Amino acid sequence: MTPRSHPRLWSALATALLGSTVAVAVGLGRGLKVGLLTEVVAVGWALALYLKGGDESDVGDALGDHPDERQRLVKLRARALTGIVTPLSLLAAWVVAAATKSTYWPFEVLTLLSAVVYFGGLALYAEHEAPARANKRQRGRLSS
Amino acid sequence: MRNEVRERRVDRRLSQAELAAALGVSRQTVISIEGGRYLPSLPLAFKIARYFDVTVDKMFDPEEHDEEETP
Repeated sequence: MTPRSHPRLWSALATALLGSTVAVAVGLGRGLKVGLLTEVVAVGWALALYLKGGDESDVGDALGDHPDERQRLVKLRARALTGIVTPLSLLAAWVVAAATKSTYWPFEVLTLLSAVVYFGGLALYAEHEAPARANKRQRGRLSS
Repeated sequence: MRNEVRERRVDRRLSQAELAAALGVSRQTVISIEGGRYLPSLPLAFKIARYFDVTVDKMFDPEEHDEEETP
């Protein structure tokens, strides 16, 4: 049973694990009660995702094991929307925190990270042509 | 883009679920294709055309222009 064969299960497990990591941090910083509550929410969220992935619907199939080509596109669009809303939210939080003299460096770091990842993604997924000099050499060889 | 998926499916008395199963896609995708809200990829378009024993250009046509718009 690998992540590739059961992505729905592994996705839920990863969500639970990440949520538990947050719960531990919250517990350490804010106390056991709040930490436990966070853990309950995290596990509940992971379970809800797993169960929803079994639905016969676009949302269910997108979260489930075998989305088809259109549903993969639906997922991609949802991720793209997240990629727009999240950095804008971080930017807004950065502005508010800075204006109210609160700690703002986490928002600053994450906003800049979003920008770096975006441009990195453009570079990664763009079509890259061969350099012009190499093309000229190639044409020279072909014509001789 | 106009397509003949719905007409040909109905001619063969197939349900959307049955066609979806035959093509290896979800029923929602068949609904979207029939409604013209989703343009299938080239491999899927070929699969659909082969399933109904027609060519791709017979199955999928660019939308016809409104005759009133042409001078």
